[in-house]
Amino acid sequence: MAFDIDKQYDKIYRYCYLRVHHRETAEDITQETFLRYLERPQYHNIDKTLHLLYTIAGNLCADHFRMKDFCEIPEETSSDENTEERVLSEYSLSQALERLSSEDREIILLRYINEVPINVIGRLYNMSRFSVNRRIKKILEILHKELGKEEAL
Amino acid sequence: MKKSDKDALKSAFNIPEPQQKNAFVASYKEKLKKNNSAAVLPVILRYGAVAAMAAVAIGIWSASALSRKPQYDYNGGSVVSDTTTDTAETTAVTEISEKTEASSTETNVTTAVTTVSAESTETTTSVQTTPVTVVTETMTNTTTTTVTTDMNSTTQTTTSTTPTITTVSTTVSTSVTITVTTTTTTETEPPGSFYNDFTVTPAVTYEKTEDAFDLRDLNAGEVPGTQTPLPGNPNGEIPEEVVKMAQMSEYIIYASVDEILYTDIGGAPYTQENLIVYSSYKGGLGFMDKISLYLPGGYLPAEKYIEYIGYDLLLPDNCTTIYDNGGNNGEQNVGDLFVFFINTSGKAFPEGSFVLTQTTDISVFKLDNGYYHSLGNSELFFSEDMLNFLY
Repeated sequence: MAFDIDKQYDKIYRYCYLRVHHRETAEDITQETFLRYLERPQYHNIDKTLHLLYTIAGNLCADHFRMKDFCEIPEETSSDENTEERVLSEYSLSQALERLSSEDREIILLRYINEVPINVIGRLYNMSRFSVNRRIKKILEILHKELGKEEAL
Repeated sequence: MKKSDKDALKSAFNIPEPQQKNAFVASYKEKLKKNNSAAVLPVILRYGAVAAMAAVAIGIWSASALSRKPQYDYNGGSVVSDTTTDTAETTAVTEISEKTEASSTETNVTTAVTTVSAESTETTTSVQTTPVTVVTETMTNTTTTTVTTDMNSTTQTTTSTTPTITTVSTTVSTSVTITVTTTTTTETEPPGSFYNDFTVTPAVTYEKTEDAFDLRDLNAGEVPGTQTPLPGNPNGEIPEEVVKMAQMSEYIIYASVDEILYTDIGGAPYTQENLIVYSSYKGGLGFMDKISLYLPGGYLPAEKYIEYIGYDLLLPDNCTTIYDNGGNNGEQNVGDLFVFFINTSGKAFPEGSFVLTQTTDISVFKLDNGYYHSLGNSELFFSEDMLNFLY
């Protein structure tokens, strides 16, 4: 399957960064993910490409944590914080996201940032499409509640 | 979810932009190109294998289809459908010669029509085939085989004929291209002649020698095979003996002796006469048909004859060949014309040959002063007019 490496690179990178919270490590894992994908031409079809990429990336992230003995990696901060309003808004949302479980954050990132189809997310987390939909709906409700609290404060 | 919400969410994740993306994407695309070009070879091999299998299948089908073709249409004449070849070595080249059938037949027709005195025609046909065809595997050794085939058949047609002897020389190489060379020697009759050549090739032939010992000298006064004189009836009706002979005969022909060969049948001396038919009074033989007739007697090496009879003979010291007249009284030479009362031969004789109805030359009549006289019994004769009412 010929996919757009420019787009998929960003998406896999985000997914990896969300897990490892380290830019260089996330990029290393992202690149390793694509190289390993290239070595498995038998899976290069439209249905399995995304699933395979995220599975490889997820496994590599897990391997990374095992190698580091769960060492805490310092979280990098984004330098894209210019306006006060935007900083406040993103801060509120970031805070809300921080309160989510890691898996919920991954699902939200996959679905709304990386635009991964529901069925692929379901295969990645061993859930049905309906379960994924319900899970996403629930996460969004939590986020809204958290944001409402922030606004109320 | 709105795009603005997605952007806000994306910002909220605080994910920094990757810095090594461009370099990696470029190298990844290079690797992808190499992988794709490397994958071309298996694809080529796969489709090449399919094409090769198709070629093999077509080759096998063509070989089987060609081998099912009928016999030669000799010089544009009637198809000799029951042609038999009595030599075993011709089997090996039958398939190849049939492959060249189309071209060689076409050449023969041209020669027969346009060249009256044409003696030989050489045709080279190249047949291209794959190295794995059945034909190629069969002919693994480079061989040159020369086969002389005299076409003979029991088929009877009324088509006019021209005698032909075909020599087929086949050369097969193991290369991808099989070259088949066919040399055809044709003895042509006047243009427009068509014929059926039903002659056969004897298994062995013996030479006629001037100093051959005549076995009749051993039994002076008692000539073997001499028949009791039968009364002729030149002025009356057809002799009853001739009528019976005609009834017993499948064929009554007026033919010339074209060739005389001396051979043996089961050790006994026999003479093969190749006849050219000029008139046919009974049976299906036609004008210019060529047949082989077997008569008892002939020339045989002395030791062969002694071996055949099973006891020694008092032969002259320098005797190497004996002559046995086989009970025949008359003399037949090349170019002579006779009326023959004949039948198809039995199993002991080459298939497609003929024998005299009454074994000896009693069944052979020679025209003399308007009457046909039996060679075996000069008293047995009938008029030329009677010949048309024999059957």
